[in-house]
Amino acid sequence: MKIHFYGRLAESVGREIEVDVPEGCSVSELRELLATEYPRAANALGHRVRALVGDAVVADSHIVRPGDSVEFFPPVSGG
Amino acid sequence: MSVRARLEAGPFDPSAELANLIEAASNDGAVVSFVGVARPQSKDGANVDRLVLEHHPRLTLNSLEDIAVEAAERFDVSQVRVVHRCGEIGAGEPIVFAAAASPHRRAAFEAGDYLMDRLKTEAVFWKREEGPAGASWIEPTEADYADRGRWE
Repeated sequence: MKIHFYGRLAESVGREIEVDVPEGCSVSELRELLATEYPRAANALGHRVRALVGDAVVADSHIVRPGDSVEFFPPVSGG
Repeated sequence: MSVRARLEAGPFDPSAELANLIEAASNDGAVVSFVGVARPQSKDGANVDRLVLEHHPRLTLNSLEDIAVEAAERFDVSQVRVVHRCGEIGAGEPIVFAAAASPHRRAAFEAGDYLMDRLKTEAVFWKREEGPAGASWIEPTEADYADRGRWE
């Protein structure tokens, strides 16, 4: 599964990674898996970081599927 | 009613944007505009050479358009404009132009205020200040979220 990161997350993990996730993996389990694999990003993956699948924000309980492209958004800010 | 939002990868001229809006709003009584400019110093006083605004290939422009459309729906305005930079922005350069025109000043002021509160917390950008002391990511403050909350 492809996972994209932006902002400070991209700095600590990379812009795009490919990971194998177990069947029935939720977004919250995916966060834990990534935090274990990328300890530097563990804090950055928590507070106010939203997960998107197919350009839509999803809840932590959302189950990701093998073909999904998942994106993690740190807090956004314009202006 | 005319609503336009644009993402600019290079410098833009806010005075030209305002002149175009005033021309388009010739039947209105009020035009209010705001220009955000990249600061030469960070909040803690460190020198800043440039601001880098990362954006999302699809969602950034969508977010600008959504915010502009919702301002137009919410207030009695005839024109809404948003122009937002992305990429590297030198200190002193304009980052954002947000403006509204209306038959009456109050709605135009409110629309401009609303546009900026939403852009600060919902426009899809990731902002980094770079200077001699290094780089740091800038995220919305609690005050920014509280300002956004005024419109709920």
